[in-house]
Amino acid sequence: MTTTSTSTLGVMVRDEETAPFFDAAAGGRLAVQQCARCGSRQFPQPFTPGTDRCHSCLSPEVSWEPVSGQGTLVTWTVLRGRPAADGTPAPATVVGVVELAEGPWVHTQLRGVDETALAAGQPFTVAFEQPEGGEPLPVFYPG
Amino acid sequence: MTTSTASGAAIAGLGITEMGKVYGRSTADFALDAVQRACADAGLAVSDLDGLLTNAGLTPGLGLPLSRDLGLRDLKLLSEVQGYGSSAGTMIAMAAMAIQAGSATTVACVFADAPLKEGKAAGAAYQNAAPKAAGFSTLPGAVGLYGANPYYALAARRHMEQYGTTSEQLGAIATSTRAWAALNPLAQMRTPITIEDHQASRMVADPLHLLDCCLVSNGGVAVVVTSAERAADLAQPPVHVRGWAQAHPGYVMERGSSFGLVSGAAQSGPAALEMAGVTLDDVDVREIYDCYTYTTLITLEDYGICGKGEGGALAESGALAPGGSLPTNTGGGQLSSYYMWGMTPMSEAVIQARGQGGERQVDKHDVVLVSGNGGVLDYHSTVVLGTSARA
Repeated sequence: MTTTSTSTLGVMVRDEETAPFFDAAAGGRLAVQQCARCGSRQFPQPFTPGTDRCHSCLSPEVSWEPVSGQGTLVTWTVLRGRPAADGTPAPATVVGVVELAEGPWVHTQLRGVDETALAAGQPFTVAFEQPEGGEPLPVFYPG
Repeated sequence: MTTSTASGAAIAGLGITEMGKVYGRSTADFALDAVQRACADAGLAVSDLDGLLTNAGLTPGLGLPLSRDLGLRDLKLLSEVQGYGSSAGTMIAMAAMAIQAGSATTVACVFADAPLKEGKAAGAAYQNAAPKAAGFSTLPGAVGLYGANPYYALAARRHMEQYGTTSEQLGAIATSTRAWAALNPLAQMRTPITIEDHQASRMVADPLHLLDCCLVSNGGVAVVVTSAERAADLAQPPVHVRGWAQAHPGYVMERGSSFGLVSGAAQSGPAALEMAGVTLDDVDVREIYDCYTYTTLITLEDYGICGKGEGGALAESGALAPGGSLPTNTGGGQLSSYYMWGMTPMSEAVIQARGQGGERQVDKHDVVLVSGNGGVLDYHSTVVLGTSARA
């Protein structure tokens, strides 16, 4: 776990929905929701907060379960702030979508990459970073 | 009044307010203005309306009370519609259905927005507010995904990876769209641009440059829909509403998702053409929702105007530009004319179908295909307009 006061990650705080996810993250494990009825695995999608159901069968019986933390790159974007007044380019943040081996996609930041040499399908592995004042969040490294 | 609806519905009036960096006017004021202009354009009094559908943009203040602001009484159809960029097509379809069912005769459909604030960058209008930090739905914001730009960047990059689409090909859409805008006195950005200009423009969210992104505009657009029979007796050439369809993919972000690769246009396009009784070969003009160059590209592919993955080559061929074989976004689109959500392509479609496009008028304009796209390719509508009713 990396704790940093200069993270490019935003601060998230726990609530009832995300407490099991952050507990797993604190232990270095990535968790996804698994449906007790149909077995589907998912992240809660950012549609309407407070509608915690299985996306496949609408069962409310979903629980957080650890997964491998392995995945492949689906797509990405490189975000930069505006250049400094002297023209110095702002540092790049590479935001990607990683498809976990278990199926769900996660929006994440990619670490240790050359943003000009990325390709869909590249393997990535989870790690966690904890921005000061927030919960640990998953980031992904090549490999 | 008894009105025959055997020939379906037609757009009889179009109202476009002053547009762009127009400050100090409320959303409802733009909407009021647009409806008045649309009625006057049709040769109708505002009091002739018996239906009103409103679609608010980002800024609050447009909705049911507009009917009172307009002094309308005894309306038979009144509703707020929200399907984001697909709303214009949805409103016109709802109006046409009401008219064909006999439940209303004369329906105004209006969009207005005033997100631009004096002294603030256009991009600020479409930034999400700082995410509330609790709940899984805030994770995308926490990793840097604010507003529409980075999400469309993710979609465009996926298309590039899958099909080899290039930034220069997206640039070809920016340049052809601007070339049309140069011919449109209503357009905000009329100076021609080159691929080099596109490539040199600031990277907003890689792979999207500034010139891949639409404008942000203050203003309002309204149309008046009535029966085709009645429209024939009014002031403007009737523009028949021949076909419509919606398709909302419901992407779930997981293995197998077609996010970025296929949009709702793949379903709504063929369905709307079938209702209109025409095929793609009959389409003379294409007005495509172009919040980004990439949106034009994927929509053209999904409509079947080229093969899947061939949108980039189509753009590079010059077919979409003035003088090309497939005139597309003939007013300059949202990229270069004005950003009124789905009313941008709809308003230009009405102008072209009427033959009132001036310098930019397409010679043959019997059938016009219009798209609407909302969310991040989440909501899609298609409308087919024509100079004649469907047989």
